[in-house]
Amino acid sequence: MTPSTEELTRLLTGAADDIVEGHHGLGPDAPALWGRGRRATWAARGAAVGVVAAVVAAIGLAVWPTGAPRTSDPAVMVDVDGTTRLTAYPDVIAKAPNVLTTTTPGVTAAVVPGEGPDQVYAVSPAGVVSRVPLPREESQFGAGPALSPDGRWVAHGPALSNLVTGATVPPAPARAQLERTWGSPEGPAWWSPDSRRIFVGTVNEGQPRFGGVVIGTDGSTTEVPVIVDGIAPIFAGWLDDTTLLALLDLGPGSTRLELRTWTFGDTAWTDRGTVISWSPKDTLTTRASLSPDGSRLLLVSSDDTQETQSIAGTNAMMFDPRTGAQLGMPAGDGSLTPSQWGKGTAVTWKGWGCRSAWRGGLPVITDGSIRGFVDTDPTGLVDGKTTTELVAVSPGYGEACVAFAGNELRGTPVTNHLAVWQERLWTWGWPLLGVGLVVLALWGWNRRHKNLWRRPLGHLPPIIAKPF
Amino acid sequence: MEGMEMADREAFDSYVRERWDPLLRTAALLTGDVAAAEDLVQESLVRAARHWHRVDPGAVDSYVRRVMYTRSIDAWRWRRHQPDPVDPIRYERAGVDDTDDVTTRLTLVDALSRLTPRQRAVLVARFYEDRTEVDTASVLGCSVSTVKSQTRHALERLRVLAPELATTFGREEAPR
Repeated sequence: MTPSTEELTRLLTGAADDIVEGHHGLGPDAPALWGRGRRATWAARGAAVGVVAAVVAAIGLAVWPTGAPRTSDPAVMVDVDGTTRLTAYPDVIAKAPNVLTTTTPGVTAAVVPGEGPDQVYAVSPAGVVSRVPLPREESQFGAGPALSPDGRWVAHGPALSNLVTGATVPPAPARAQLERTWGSPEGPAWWSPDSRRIFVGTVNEGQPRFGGVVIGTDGSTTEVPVIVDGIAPIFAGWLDDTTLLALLDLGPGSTRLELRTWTFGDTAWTDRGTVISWSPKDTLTTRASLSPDGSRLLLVSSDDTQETQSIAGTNAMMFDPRTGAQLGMPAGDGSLTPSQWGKGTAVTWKGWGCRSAWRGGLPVITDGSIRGFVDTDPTGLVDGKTTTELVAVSPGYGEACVAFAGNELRGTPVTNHLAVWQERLWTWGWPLLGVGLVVLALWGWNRRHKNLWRRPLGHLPPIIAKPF
Repeated sequence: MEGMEMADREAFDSYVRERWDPLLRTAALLTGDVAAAEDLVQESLVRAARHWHRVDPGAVDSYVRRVMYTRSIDAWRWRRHQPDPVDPIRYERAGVDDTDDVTTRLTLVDALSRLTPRQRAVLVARFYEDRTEVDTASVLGCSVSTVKSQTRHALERLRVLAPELATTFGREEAPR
């Protein structure tokens, strides 16, 4: 120390004495200080335990398998005749935690195919999503699940599973027989409006010929007669509870589509004498879908690329199934009346593969997202027509086709904010929390190890010089 | 377990009784006010009590002083206790002769109070507690070069604030 700093030290010592001397404080209360320290320690430990408990509880709440409410769901109404009617549908289908439900989900408004063929995601009218295990089938009979109009039955392959009671029909031997007899259909099956039976249109591999089979919720199976041998019909669904509608494509293109009907119990199809004429252009695929009340028929054809013979999108047009008259497609003016639509107006969109649903008598696109044609929202253009998103489907499902009860968005839309936030939590909340905890742990480790003075210094290893 | 707790408590009591006065004097220079100094020492001791079982018995004093310096540098915690730099009244004590030495010390304390908390802590650690630069860096949790630069800046600032004491800290302090 130099003389100047010695003088500074002397002055500082005197200054400290000046400040402290004359002060008559109570002096140190070591027991009180010790008690405060220990209380602070226990408070910190309690806070840490509380945080951990809260995180564990949150995880537990998020992943704990819970079943959706059953018949008490307010979005379901039971008519005097005992028929269940849905009065609401979810306008958000969030991705649920990947946990199988341990109970039946109850009345369901929509199903989304799961990762495997033996499971689906069931979405309640209130938007509660649960992953439902289904009986494992040996073959891939069926092209995606179909949900009955009352929301109680889901058809997958030859099996009908009751989402309320958990029962599955027909019995396993009868299902195996169906799988052996019938080939895999190209599209989902058709539920009758009364939810008592479902029609699967496919090829009888034993004959072989185009036909189909009706499976009842009582476990019965009824073979549907062939319309015309050698011609693949286009099935459109049920006109009423007992009558099926099919179209015979007699070409060229889709200029001559003859309508035939079959009533449950009949031995043959009936020619209604009605012909639908649409486009002369040959297409790879044409599909048909009847509105739930049977008053409108939607035809969709693939928009083919000639060079590659691939499907680039979908063309759509509505017809009157009684007269065969072309109704056009709704334009972006919000009108529900066909007379307001431009004559011959077709609609094209890029998606292909998912069956269109219905809402308020108008078709709804279900490729990628659930969109309606009639709305003045300028977003989501489809071939120049304005559309709006009716149901937001989580991208976590991939490109899965959503099947609504009875192929219809019935009632009023309901938003399940809890499911939305739960998905957000799972998607980025927990990862962020994990990263945060890691950063916190690293910070704590760094803070602890930076204070090396707390521990006695260890001996450093001797440095051995190179001998050469 | 209870025996260990009792032993820790007795060791803490003993440490507090033995080291209270030196800690209070250091804190007084850091805060410039005896009440704030008591608060600072008590808070440092409470923190020491929280982690007593983890602290190396041979480094308890270093730990407490480290806490004390760190807390004093957290100026926001002590700003409300900071004295008014231009108010010399609180340094006047009854019964103290108005000698040149006392005047010099008052001037020094006044100048100290105008330094930044970190500069004040460096000066107290280096020249009041007579620590080496390496030891000061360890206690303050900073690098030796930071201690050197802070010391230099603090002394330069003192020469400006108290030019009449420039001869006291006017020469360069030799590094140790």
